[in-house]
Amino acid sequence: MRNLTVSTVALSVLLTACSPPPTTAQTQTYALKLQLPEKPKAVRFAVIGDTGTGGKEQYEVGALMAEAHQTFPFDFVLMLGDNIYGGKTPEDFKRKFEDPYKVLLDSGVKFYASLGNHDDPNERYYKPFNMNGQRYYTIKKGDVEFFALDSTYFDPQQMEWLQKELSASGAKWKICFFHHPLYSDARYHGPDTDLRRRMEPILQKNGVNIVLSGHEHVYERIKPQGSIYYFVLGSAGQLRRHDLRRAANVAKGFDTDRTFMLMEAADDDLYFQTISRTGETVDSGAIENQKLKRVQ
Amino acid sequence: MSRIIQNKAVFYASLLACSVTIAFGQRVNIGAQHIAGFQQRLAAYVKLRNEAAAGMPRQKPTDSSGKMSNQERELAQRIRSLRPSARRGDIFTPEISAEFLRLIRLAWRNPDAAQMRRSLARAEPVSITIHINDAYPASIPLQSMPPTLLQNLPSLPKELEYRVIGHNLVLRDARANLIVDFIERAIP
Repeated sequence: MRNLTVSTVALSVLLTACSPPPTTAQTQTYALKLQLPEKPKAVRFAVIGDTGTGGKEQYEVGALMAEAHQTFPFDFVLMLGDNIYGGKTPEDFKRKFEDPYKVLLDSGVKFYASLGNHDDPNERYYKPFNMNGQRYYTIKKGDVEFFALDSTYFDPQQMEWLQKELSASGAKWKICFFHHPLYSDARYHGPDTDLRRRMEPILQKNGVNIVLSGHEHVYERIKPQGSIYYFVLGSAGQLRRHDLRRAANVAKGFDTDRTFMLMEAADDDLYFQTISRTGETVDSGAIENQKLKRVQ
Repeated sequence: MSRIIQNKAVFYASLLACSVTIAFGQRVNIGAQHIAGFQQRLAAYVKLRNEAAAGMPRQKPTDSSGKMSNQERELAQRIRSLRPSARRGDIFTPEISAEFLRLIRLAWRNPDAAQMRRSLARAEPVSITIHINDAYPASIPLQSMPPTLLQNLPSLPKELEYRVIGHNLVLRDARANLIVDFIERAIP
């Protein structure tokens, strides 16, 4: 993995356990500086997780995403589950999804959801989530194939389906996204090791490059496990402040504000930039495609 | 997939272990009989459910979340009206419940048990009072199922799923969001 040349603002990661939560008056805002290369024919997308609170911060993240979209026109957004917390009335769908992302939805940006434990599995029939009635499904965009999984119910049928779909995929980049993290150093839930035990061998065997999860209300980039890069982003609506533990396998973490991530897959590299609600870049970099390297 | 086959093999081997010799000298696999009976009751439920859904428009993706939840509620109501006197134990009879409890106890004794327990603990466990024919409350998270536990339980028709609520193992109609049956205190 390479760091991008533009330096990022120092993180409050892991070392801020004693500092009080900032009040609104103390919150510093940053001019949004995008660090993605915007290569021609790249696949551009955003990632959000644990969004559906309907709270002020979710709207602020939504507004910042819309601002980022003006200079980095991503085509779609991956949702890592817990898309609608609490009630599931039409008013809830409006307040917790349609309104916060109205500008993006009106611009034609598509949202692809995966199911979290706070979601009604019937959300798969909600057209704006683009799940087409399926709990798990694939999307192909250019050189990238995305596998949306239902980690709340990873049964033998889904396992078999995943094995089949991954092995049949000839995509340059294989990205899985689902709710429960296989790795996490957050205190509240931690990783789902039973899920990891069943799922990870399938991911490794079939050349998955990136895994995106939510559930923990923080941002984490885990040091590569084998050839897989794991990201946890469960803080696009929710936040569990100072929940991250100091841990050896966290490459980067951020747990003091909401975040979203932008990604760009272009040829042999996948670029990412994680941005806080206030516009601070909390992580960025480029991931080289190890499979392609091995082939060359 | 070999792991799944292995687990299924363990499952069926454990059923064979239940075989007993009964009167008339016939060797009958009690566990297999109970599973067959369970599957018959599941099939009967699916048949009833299909009758309930008859005449309703096929569920398709929709922009209207209201339409989505109305269909869910209507299907649930129709199912309820076709099984108004449904009681706990109609599908999970005492015999199959005992078999499930035995399987779960076995699963809880193997080396994966600690991971399953952790998986359940990290999936935001909930503790609510449940009743047959109730809808699962929309505002309460649906606890995720440990994959290892799912591998060790008999498979279900696509209309139904297992869920853990508190210590209960629940049979839930996913589309209708309906509690069909449950085994109390099945999960240690």
